[in-house]
Amino acid sequence: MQFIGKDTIKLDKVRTELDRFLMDFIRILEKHTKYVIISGYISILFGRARGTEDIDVIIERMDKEKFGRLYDELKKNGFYCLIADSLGDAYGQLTEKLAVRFAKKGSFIPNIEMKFPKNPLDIRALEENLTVIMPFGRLIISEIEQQIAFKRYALKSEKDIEDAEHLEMIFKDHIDKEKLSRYRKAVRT
Amino acid sequence: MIFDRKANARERMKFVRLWAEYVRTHSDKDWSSQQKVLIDSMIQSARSWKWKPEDYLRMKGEL
Repeated sequence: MQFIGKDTIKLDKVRTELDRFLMDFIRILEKHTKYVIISGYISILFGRARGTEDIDVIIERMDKEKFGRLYDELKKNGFYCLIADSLGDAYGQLTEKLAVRFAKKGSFIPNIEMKFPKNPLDIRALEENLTVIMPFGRLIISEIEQQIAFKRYALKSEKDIEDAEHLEMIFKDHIDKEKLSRYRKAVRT
Repeated sequence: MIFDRKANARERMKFVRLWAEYVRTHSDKDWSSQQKVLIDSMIQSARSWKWKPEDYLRMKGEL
């Protein structure tokens, strides 16, 4: 792993099935909207020895017509929405501050859990984030400090604390302590 | 036999730290090749489940 500037990380990792699934999805998603990956996949991306069934993604709020173009292209490329049978249902879920899940036809694991931003921290994650460049593509992920704060001080399950610990050790020479402290206060309010 | 939850959590955390140190001090190719075995086998195993998407959503509390 190598930092190229402040906001870009080069990661020379081997591609997993999970990465392959995610990259297929992101290649379509990024044509339609801004996005940011949050939560468990980030600790896995940087080496955590665990799997996951879903990957959390925040996308910019958009109108139904724009979402429809994304929805159609996902369908054309073999994805389906687990939780809604139609574009209208899926968009309705999103606007009700709920997430929608997309998987490849014939499966439901792994899946993408996609939502519109729900709070100022989600909006910030869309605005201030990191780019990770890998041999098989690039991804936009939320700031490491935000993930650590959210997992250690908001979610606090055993798995989340372990994820936070992992990220703290991996990024110990790069973590901005003031930023982490700001995020810690923000997730507690 | 009594399951000691705290002792189990301590052991797990010990491994998390040990593995993070390994990741930090070895090449991306090295650790990610090992991680790939774990992740790919988990996905392969999930693909063989006889569950329906509705069962999964029910388990997640979303249906």
